[in-house]
Amino acid sequence: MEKNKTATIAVCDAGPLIHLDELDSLDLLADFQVWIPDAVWKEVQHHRPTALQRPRVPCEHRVVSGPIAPTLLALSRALALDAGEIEALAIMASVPQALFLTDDAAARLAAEQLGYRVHGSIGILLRAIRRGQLTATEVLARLQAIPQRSSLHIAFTISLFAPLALVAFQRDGPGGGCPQLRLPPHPATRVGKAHRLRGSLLCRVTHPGGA
Amino acid sequence: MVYVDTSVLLAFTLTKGMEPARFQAASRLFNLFEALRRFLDVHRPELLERFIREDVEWGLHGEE
Repeated sequence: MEKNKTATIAVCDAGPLIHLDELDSLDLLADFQVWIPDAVWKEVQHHRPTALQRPRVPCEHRVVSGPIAPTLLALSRALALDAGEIEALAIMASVPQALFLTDDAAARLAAEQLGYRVHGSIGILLRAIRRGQLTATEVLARLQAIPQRSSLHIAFTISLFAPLALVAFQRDGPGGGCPQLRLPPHPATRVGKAHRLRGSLLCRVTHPGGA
Repeated sequence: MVYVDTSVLLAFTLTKGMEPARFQAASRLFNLFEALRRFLDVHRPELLERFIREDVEWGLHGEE
């Protein structure tokens, strides 16, 4: 199959490849140039080899050339990123206009800090409506199947949000707003203040019992 | 602000003969990353919620 070289490059972490394949939704990546870092390729080959064998989703196996930047290494160590996530972010450095796909919170936070566009499996599923690949009803069924059919782990309260938003979208049309879903505050909150400066997420960490 | 691993960094600096200005810059970077790690540890549920909201917004209304 001739690959469309003008398509957006999507550098993939293992999560979206595995989770979308579990939901029979990997074909939704067909309009991307899917780049898979070597470490991610090996991880997916081990855990979900069928995800690499979809004829409609030609995947490019990419190998990181050259050393990993010290800044990325330090960030990766601080956030305990795995080899696949580090390689994916290293590849993103060479194609910063690409889209990084991950379902890992730490990898997504790191990508944000580095200024990259990043989304996950939920975004790809919902994008299928906008792109006319699936109907809203079909996407809703796949979102609702996540707890049973997918290893994508999201907390129960959070998992309700995307289906609720989609129902609101169906009811109110594209102009409709997303429903508000308030989560209870996390009990272990120790961070005193978080704020954005110059595009970076900086937070002031207070000592327990400190000023 | 919590300063983490500066003793390790200082030892590394002395060993490698890093200039003081570069040491300070590296120290700031280390502390930013450590703050990020702590932020992630503490705020993971809120982050996941925000990420899903962003995915919903991009998926339904976003542009490529």
